[in-house]
Amino acid sequence: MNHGLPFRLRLRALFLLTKAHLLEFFREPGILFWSFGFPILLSWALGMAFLSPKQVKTTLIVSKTDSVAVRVAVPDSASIALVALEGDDALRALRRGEATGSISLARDGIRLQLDTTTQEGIMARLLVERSASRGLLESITVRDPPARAGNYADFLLPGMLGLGLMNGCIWGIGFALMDLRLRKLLRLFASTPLSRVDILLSVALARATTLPLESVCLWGFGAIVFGVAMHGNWFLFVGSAAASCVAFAGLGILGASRVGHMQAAYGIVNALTIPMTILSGVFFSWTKFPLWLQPVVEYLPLTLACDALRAVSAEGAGLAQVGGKLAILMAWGAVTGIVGLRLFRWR
Amino acid sequence: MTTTAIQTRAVVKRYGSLVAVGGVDLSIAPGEGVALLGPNGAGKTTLVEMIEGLIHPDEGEVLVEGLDWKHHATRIRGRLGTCLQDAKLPERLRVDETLVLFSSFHGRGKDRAEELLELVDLGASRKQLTGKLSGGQRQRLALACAIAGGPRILILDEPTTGVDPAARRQIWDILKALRAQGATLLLTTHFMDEAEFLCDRVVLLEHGRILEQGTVPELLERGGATSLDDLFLKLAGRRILE
Repeated sequence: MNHGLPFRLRLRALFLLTKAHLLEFFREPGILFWSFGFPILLSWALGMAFLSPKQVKTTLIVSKTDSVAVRVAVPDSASIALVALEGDDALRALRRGEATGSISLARDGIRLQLDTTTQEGIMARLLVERSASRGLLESITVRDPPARAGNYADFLLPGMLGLGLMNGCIWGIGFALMDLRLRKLLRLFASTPLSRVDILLSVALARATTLPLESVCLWGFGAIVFGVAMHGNWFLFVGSAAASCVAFAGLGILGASRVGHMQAAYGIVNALTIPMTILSGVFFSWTKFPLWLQPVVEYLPLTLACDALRAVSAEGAGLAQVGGKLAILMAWGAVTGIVGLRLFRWR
Repeated sequence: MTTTAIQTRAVVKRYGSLVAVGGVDLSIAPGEGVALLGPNGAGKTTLVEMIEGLIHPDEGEVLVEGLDWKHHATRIRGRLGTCLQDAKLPERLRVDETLVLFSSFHGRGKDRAEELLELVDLGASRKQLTGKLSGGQRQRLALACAIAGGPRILILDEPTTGVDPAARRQIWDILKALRAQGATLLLTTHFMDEAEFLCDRVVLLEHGRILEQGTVPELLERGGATSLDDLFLKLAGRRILE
């Protein structure tokens, strides 16, 4: 029989506990810097740096009909790769950073579509000039890529947002629970009439309050400084972020379920976050990893989150395109969250 | 009306091959004060945590005012006030915020928090962050959190460890006053004088089992010892404060 607090008092206790987590968060300058300042600084640094990325191999898109002729004029080499793509597929490859530009043959010579304001574009042009057959060297013309192909900031910002959501949930929920356990606060809270569901819920609600703030700051920064625009539906974008949070919260709870030492807490959080930070296509396309690794990387929660956020914001993708990824993210959250709660130790 | 505030019946708790508590029968009457005494590793905290419902016994039964944890957990929690060993209250909350928070867990409002501030004499520090409090102030705050719901039974795990003698005396006075109002007290301690001052009965625990129990004069007479520490040495071959 449950003789817990009446609903109104229960709600008040839940509100006050959530507020306590938030006060602890906002009164710690270090946490504020890592949550708000660091992602913005990193985005700025990477945004500036990757306006001039140093890429050894340049990938150029060629239309299927031109493919043979172009390959004769500019052969595949160690420094140039040609991929045959058409229409939307070609645009998508440009937006995702999988290709630097496109190449075609006209009557008067080679025609390149490149962003020559970036070092990557300049490098691609130089590499084409170096590899092109004699007689074509003087006839290379360069045009801007289609406007909707986007730039590196369009690629980076959704990735940084995904990274921020992952860190916010795994540190903000998973590590916070471990910290509460190690300070014996979980036990202390659990020894009162407050329900255990409410104790866990308060941690999640505190994070659900701060994460939108962090995300708005980051996106606002990208929009103002780098001119990043939203090409898709805002609701679907927010929905993708929410589904990502479900997956990361589940992972956080699973990671936090048994930990009894601070060293182990840091170890588990780092083991969860660092591989995905590197592999999941936050800073560059995960398709650059070896083919054997890609089937694993593709289904990591952060990869799914970045891909979904990027598809909606940079490509204007709809639910039909990202629905599958969102479903897998929800499944990640459900499975890891349920297992985590089953294993969860309060002491 | 139940005749026991706390009752354990042959409770056992094992961690792998280690028997932390090995079949303890303990009965505490309403309004009684009982001290669990024993060196580190004697099983005091494990026994207390089973009584608090934080861990489940592998064998045996724990009843609080006749209610078992399996069926009446929330009701029991409403009747208990607990102070855990080494628990660290939220360090970036102020004293008054902490007390409002813990009062809310028991359905009580700000007026209760004000009463508690006065009771543990922390009114002057109400706006201070708990992380900035002295050891004695922190223990008084922890005690205030434990009694926020006005519990009938108080379970305190080493409530004065690490505090100076003056602060210890202050905590004793608060506990004495609560006992005078009819609260049942179960505390674990290393300090013989604390047990003697606050409790009617002392239970000596070693290797998860009760060695002896009774009032302090009874125990000393029975064991032919001059202090509880000497008695413990005679019974267990080591000192309580080892």
